[in-house]
Amino acid sequence: MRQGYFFRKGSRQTHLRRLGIALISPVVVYMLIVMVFPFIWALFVSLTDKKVGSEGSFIGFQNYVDLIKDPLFWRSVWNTVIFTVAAVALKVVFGVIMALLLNERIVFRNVNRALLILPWTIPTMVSVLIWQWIFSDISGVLNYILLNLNIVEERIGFLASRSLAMGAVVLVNAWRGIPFVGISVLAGLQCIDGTLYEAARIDGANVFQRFRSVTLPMIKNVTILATIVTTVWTLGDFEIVWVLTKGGPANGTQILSTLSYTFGFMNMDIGKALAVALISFPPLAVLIHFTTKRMLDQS
Amino acid sequence: MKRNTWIKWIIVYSVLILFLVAALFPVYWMANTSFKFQKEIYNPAPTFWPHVFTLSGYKEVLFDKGFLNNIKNSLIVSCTVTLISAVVSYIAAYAIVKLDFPGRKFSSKAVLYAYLLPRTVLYIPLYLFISKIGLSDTLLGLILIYPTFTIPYATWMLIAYLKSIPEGLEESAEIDGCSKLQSMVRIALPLSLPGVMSTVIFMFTMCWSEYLYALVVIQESAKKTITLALSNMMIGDIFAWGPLMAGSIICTLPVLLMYVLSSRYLVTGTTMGAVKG
Amino acid sequence: MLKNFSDVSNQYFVDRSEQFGEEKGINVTVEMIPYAEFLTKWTAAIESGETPDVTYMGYQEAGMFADQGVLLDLSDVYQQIDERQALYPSLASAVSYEGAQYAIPYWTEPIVLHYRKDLLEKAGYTEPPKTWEEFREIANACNDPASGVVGAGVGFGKNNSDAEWFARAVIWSYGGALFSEDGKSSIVNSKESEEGVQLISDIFLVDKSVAPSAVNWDDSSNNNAYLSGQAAMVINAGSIYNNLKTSDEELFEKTGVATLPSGPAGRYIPGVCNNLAVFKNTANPELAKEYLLYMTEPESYREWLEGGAPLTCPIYEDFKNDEIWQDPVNKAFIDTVDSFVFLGYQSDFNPAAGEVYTQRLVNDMFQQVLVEQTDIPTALQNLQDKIDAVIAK
Repeated sequence: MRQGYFFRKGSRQTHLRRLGIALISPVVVYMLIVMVFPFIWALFVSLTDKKVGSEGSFIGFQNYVDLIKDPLFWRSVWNTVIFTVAAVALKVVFGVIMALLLNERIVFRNVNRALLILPWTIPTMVSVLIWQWIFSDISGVLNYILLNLNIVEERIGFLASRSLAMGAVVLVNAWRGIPFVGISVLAGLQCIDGTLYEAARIDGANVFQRFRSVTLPMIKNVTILATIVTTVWTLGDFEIVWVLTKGGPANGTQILSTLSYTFGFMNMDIGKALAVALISFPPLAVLIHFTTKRMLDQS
Repeated sequence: MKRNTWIKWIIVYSVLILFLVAALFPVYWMANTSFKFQKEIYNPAPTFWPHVFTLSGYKEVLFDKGFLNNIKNSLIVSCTVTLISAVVSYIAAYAIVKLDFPGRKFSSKAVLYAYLLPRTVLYIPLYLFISKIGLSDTLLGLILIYPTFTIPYATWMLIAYLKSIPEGLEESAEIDGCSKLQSMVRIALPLSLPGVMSTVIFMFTMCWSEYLYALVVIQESAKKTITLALSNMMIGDIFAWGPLMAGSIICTLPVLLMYVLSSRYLVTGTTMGAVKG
Repeated sequence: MLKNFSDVSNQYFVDRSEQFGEEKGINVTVEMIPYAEFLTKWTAAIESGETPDVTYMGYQEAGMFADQGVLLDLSDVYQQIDERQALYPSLASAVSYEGAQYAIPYWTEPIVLHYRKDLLEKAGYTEPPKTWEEFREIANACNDPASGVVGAGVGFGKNNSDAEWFARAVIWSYGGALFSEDGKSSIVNSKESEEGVQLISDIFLVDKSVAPSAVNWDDSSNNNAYLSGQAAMVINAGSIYNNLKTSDEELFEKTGVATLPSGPAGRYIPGVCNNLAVFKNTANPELAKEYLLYMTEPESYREWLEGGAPLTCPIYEDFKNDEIWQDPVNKAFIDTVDSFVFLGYQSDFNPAAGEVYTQRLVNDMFQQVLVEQTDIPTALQNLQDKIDAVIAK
C-alpha cells in the first residue's frame, strides 16, 4: 500500500513538473525566437564601428572604452539616475495614494477611476506635445496662469534651464506613470478579502493598524512589482525627454536612452549607440535579480 | 466616531480633487484645443474655452484623413496581441507561482531581461527579423513583435497578483479532487480577476499607443495605426493642432470605454465567506 | 517622397508617378512621409535591404549616404536633365560627391525673413532690414517684453535646425567660413567669424531682444512665436507664410517677406536643396533613371512646383522669369536661390560638412557662448577643433 502511495506521489510530482514546463513554454519559446537574435546582434554590433549603411569592422571594446572616457557619458548616467529615482519615487508614492483613494467608496467611483487612468492612455507623443505647449514661454498656459496670479513677474522658460528642464521631464513622466502604479495597486487591493478587515476591526485595530496588518502585506507584492516594472520602463524612457528637450539644454536632460539615440541616428553610429544601451545591462540585471528573488521564492 | 469619519471623507475628497485636476488638466487642454480654429489656438493669451467653437478638427481627422480606418487597424493589432499575451502570460505566471519545475527561476527572470534592450535600437534587429520572414508592411508583423513588450509585463504583474490571492481555496478544492488546470481556471482566475483585468487593459493601452515599431514596419497608408496617422499630421515645422488634438481625444475613447465596461470585474466580492470555517 | 504642406502638390506628385507607371506598364507606389519620420525609415530600410527604388533626400543626407556607398551614381541623369533645361549652377555642388552626382535636385526651399509690417512701422521702419546690423537695430527697436513682443524671433535649442542656418547665414555674410577652400581643414576661428558671432551674441545677451527661453527653442518655437503674434521678425522657410494664408487672414495681411539681410562680405544664404535619390541595390536602375527624367520634365514639373509655391522653388534657372515669381513676396523667395551657398563652404559640399550640421556643432558652440558665457574666440576654437576632428574621420 505504501509503495503504491509513493509511486502515485512520485508520478504526480513529475506530472506537475511537466505541467509547469508546458504552461511556461509558450512564453519562453516566443521570447527565445523573437529576442535571442536581437540580443546577439546587439552584442556583436556594439563591438564594431558600424554606421548605418556600412558593414562596420570589428573594433573590439573600443566603443565601450570611448564611452567610459567621455564625460558626456557620465553626465548622462548621472542624469539618468536622477531622472529615474525622482520619477519612480513620485509614481510609487502618488500611485499608492491614488490606489487607496480609489478603494474607498466614493461617489462615481467608476467614473473617477476611468478619468484618472487617462494620462496613461493618451499616446505618449501626443501628451508630450501638449505638455510642451503648456510649458511654452510663448503662448503656454502655465506661464499665463502664473503671470496672471502674480506668482511670477515674467515668463519662465521651463525648458530653458537645466534644472527646470529636468523637473519638467520628471513631472511629465510621473504624470503619465502614476495611473499605472495606481491602477495596478488598486487591482491588488481589490483582491483582498473584505472579511479580513472585519476580523481586524473586531480585534480592536484602528485605521493605521488595519492598514499595516491587512492592507500592506497584501499589496506588498503588487507594489514591489509595479515599482520594478516602472523603474525598468523609466530607465528606458525615451520619447518624453526627446520630444520635450532633445537632451538639452546643454545636455542637462541627456539621459542614456537619448544619448544612445543621438549617437545612433544623429551620428549614424550604430555601434556606439548599442554600446550605450548594453553598458547599462549589468547593473540592471543585478537589480532585477535581487528584487525578483523574493517573488520567486515559494512558501 | 462620527467625527473621525467626517474628517476622513474631507481628506479623501480633497485629495481626489487634487488628483483629478492634476491628471485631467492636460486632457482638458487637449479637448479645449481640439474645438478651436488655428488662429485661436495660437492666441498669445490662451483661452480656457473655445471662443469660436468648431468641429472642423474632428471632421477633418475622421473624414478627410480616413482616421476610422486607422482605428480599425489599431484595434485589430491591440486586441489580438492583448488576448494572446494575456492567455500565454497567465498560464506562465500560474506555473511560476504554483508549480515547481527545473529552470523556473531562470526562465522567469530571463523574460524580464527583455526590457533591458531599449526599443530605440531594438527596432532594427526586430525589423530585420520581420522582413526576412516576409511580414514587413503587414499588421501580422506588428502582432508578432508587440508581445515583446507586453508579455514580460503581463507575466510578472500576474505573478504578483497570483501571489496575493489566499491559498486556502485552492487547497480545499484540490482535496476535493480538482486538478491543477481546473484550479487555474476555475479558482485562481476569478480570485485574481481584478489584477487580470487591469493587466489586460494596460496591455491594450501599450499596443494602442505604440509608435516606433509601427512606423518602421508599416508602409502602406491603408494599414497605418492611429499613432502613425497622428504623426502624419505633423508636417514640417507647423502642426495641424486642431485635427491633431481631435484625433488624440478620439484615441483615448476606446480605452476609456474598455475601462468603464470592465469595472464590474475589477471589484472582488466573490470570495466573501468562502474561506470561513 | 516628402510630404509637404500642399495637398495639391502632394496629390499631383502621386498622380504623375502613377501616370509614369501606366505608360511603362509597371506598378508604381508612392509613400508620402513627414520629414521627422525619414531617418528611422531610412535606417530600417537600409539595414534590412528593403529599400524603395527612389527616395526623397535632403542634400546632406544624400552626401552622407553616398559616402556610405548606398546610393546609385546619377551623373548621367543629371547631365541629361541639365542639357534639357538648365539647372541653377550652384545646385551641382550640393549633390556631388567625389566628382559624381548622387541625387537629382527636385526643389529648393528658401529661407526668408518674415516680418510684421505693422510692428516695424510702429517702431519707425518702413523697410525690412537689408543688413544684419539693421536687423539687430530693428529687433532692438521692436522688442517690447511688456506687451510680449520679441524683436528677433530666433533661438538655439539643442536640435534646432533653423538655428544652424541662421548662424551660418550670419557668419558667411561677415566673411567667415567653417571650411577652407580645399575642405581639408576648418577655418572658422577667424576675425570675420568672430564679428558674426559677436553680432548674434549681442542680440541675445546685450540687447536681449529674444525670448527668455530662446536658448531652448526648437524648430517649431519661432513658428509659434510668429503665429501667435509675439515675434516681430523670424527667419524661416516659407511654411509660416503658407500657413497664414489659410489660417489667419489678419496676420497674413500684416506679414511681409524679404530676402535675408546681407553682411559686409555680401549676401550668403544657406541653401536647402531637396532631391530624389536612388538606392544602389534597386532592382530597376534603368527604370528609376527614366522615372527621374519623367518627373523633372519641365512642363509637368512646373505644374507640380506651382502647387507648392512659393515654398517650393524651381531647380531650373529660367523659371524665375515666370509670372508667378514676379509677385513681390514670391520674388523674395526666388531671389534667395541666387544667393544659395551650401554646407561645406568654402569648399564643395562634403559628408564632413553634413555631419557637422547633423551633430549641430554650431548650435553647441552657441550654447557655450550664450548659456555658459564662454568667450567667443575660445568657443570658436573649440568648434574649429571639433570640425577638424570630424574631417579627420
